[in-house]
Amino acid sequence: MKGIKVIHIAAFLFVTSCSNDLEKLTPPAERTAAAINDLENDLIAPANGWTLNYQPTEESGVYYMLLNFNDDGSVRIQSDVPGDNDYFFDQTVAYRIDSRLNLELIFETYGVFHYLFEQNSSTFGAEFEFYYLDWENENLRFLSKSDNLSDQTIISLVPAGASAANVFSRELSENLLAYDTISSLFAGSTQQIALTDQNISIFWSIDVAQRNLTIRGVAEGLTTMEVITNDNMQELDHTTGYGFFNGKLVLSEPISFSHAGSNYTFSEITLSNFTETGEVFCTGGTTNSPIYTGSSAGLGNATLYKTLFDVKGTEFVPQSESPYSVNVFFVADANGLSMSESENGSINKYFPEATGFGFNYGYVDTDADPQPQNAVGLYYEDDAGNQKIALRKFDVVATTGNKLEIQFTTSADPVDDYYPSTLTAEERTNLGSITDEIFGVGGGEIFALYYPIPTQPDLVVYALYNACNNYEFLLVK
Amino acid sequence: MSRKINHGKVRRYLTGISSLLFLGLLFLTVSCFEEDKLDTPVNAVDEPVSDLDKYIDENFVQKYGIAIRYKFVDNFVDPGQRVAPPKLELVRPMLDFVDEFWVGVFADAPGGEEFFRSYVPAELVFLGGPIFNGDGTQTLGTADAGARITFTDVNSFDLTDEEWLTRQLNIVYHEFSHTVHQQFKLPTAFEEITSSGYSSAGSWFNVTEEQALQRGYVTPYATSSPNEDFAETVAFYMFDKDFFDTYITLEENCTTAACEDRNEGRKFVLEKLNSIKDHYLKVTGVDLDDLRAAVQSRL
Repeated sequence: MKGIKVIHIAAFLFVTSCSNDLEKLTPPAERTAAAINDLENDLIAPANGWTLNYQPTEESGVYYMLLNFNDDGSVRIQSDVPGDNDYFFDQTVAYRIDSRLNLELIFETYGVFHYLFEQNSSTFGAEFEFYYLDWENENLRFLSKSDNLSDQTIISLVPAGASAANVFSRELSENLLAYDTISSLFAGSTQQIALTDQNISIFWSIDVAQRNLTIRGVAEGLTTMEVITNDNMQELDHTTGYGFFNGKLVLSEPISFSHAGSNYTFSEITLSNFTETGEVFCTGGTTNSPIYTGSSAGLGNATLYKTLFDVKGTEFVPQSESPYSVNVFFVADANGLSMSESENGSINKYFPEATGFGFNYGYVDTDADPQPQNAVGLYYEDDAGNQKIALRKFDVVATTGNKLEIQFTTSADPVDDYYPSTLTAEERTNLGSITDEIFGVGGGEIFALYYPIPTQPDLVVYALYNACNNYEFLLVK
Repeated sequence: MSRKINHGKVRRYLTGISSLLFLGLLFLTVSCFEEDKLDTPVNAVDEPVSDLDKYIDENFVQKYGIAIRYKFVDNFVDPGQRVAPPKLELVRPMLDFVDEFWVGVFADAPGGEEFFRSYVPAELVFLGGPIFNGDGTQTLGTADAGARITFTDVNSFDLTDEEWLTRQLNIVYHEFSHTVHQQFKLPTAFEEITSSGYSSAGSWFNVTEEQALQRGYVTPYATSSPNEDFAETVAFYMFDKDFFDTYITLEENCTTAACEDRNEGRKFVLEKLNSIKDHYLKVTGVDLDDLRAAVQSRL
């Protein structure tokens, strides 16, 4: 009965406490709609829109964007990202403010964020779905929805000034794509920055899609020949992102170094005059490489060249102890397809049991039936499962820096041009066909580029690149 | 007369009063805000605003009850799958493609429109690229229990690209054909025709085109299950202009075992095709030959 009394008292209190003067808590749907509306209004508010220096990952560089949100669910996004016939320079896509676990900003139709998201089969780390995070002063911040929780990108929208669009350097970002056309698939695109007033050159490998670069060395001289002749090179290893702002390529992390007693700090390069009148890398070819001239703050005049010279690539030298070799998978055709794996690959076609690719370069074999000093070919298994080797002999015609020119031998008896002498005529023909395809008929020129393997720093690997046909292969020292 | 008190009955009575009081309290509590209505929709449905959305509403939602999802929602794909949405300007061409090569095909075939309207899935999803799966593979198109068909790679839209066109036709005919066996089962004893040739959902990709044909299937994927066999056969029969040359007509003067095996496989394909055609006509009222003719006239 005591319990019933308590209930009666409680009921009385509730009845008497019911008042229309109570502050009313709006239903969840209304509160959600209000929050969405508030955020949408915030996004629409700035008269000149928002600027964004978008860095999708810690390793990547920066993409500059200008976003103008509209109240009809569309957003105009201007960016400095080249590609797809300038599709990403200026576009209008749909966006949505949604509410699930948190308020979300979703770019609903395809644009520059999605293009970056799709890089490397969508593993690059860019995003197009964000959670609302907070305000940081006047900046509106969002958090990546698709990144791993331990490493979520934060983007910060900054109210744009009236001249924010002047920062775009689209011509520069687009022209740099021209440097990518003659490039090693494995080692990447390499460039030389000749600092004219300092008589030194900086060499870097660059990824124009992910906007990062690795400064690999510095050398005395302004041309490749001068660099090789002066032979005053110094290895460097400095990786940084970069972005394009006001006609400059700006490093996220500048580099300071000493060379030949002088100290240098390189942080940016202003690039103004672009031509395609540079060096022709394929002897007998007609395609000139690009050249950009400009200046670098504190260092004077500068010229950005396409190069296939690599300071560390000069360490690809004859090796008497053993042949250079690699798993046969790492021999690629002009399209970057493995010649041993692709359906039409000639190694797959002629030597489907091949396991390795060998390159004898100054090799001194002490066996009774010694392998040739200079030869290139395949390791494979015969039908009985025996390990076999098939090599084609070559002569080294010239070496210039990291460039090696070879010529296949042409003996009176073709048997003498191959190893071992027991190879059948068909095997010799097939190996001849494969090596002609890689090097050019009768031989050709290849550039040795150091190819670092981050997970195995002690492993010395070179990418051997043919600038005439874009074929290449790796070799392990 | 004295009345004996039944304590158990009183306890139940008091408990009943208490329950009523609790209910009353609850009622009083929730009824304080008199204006709140239970019939207020939680999420209002947006009226179409853009020309594109109005077109979709008029030509797909109102006409066939098909929702077109082109704006990205992440539950279109499974967790771990990564995909981008389509380019806005390619949505309308893609709709025209769907209208021409799917809706129009069934409209042209006798009895086709009635069947189409009855069993059309509730939504079509457009995705910009292929779906990248966590294991490094790609998914090119999906269907979900007859309720949704997902088109991938819309951003590569190009009707002159035979490979792209074939892939999209395969997606829509394949996925829609699943409706037939889901609603009406497979043809009688269909699974028995090449019962020993099936692989599995986890191993079909190890089967080559040649091996698939020799076993009596139009594609390696068809070997993954009788349902996929049915769907692949229907799809290829509809869009592949060389279907008879490739899968039905026997090679003459075979001199190799492989050739003879292919011909054996073709006999099985024909047997399954006839079984499917009879069943399809019987349960849907639509002749697959009419659908094939309608498709071929558009290619």
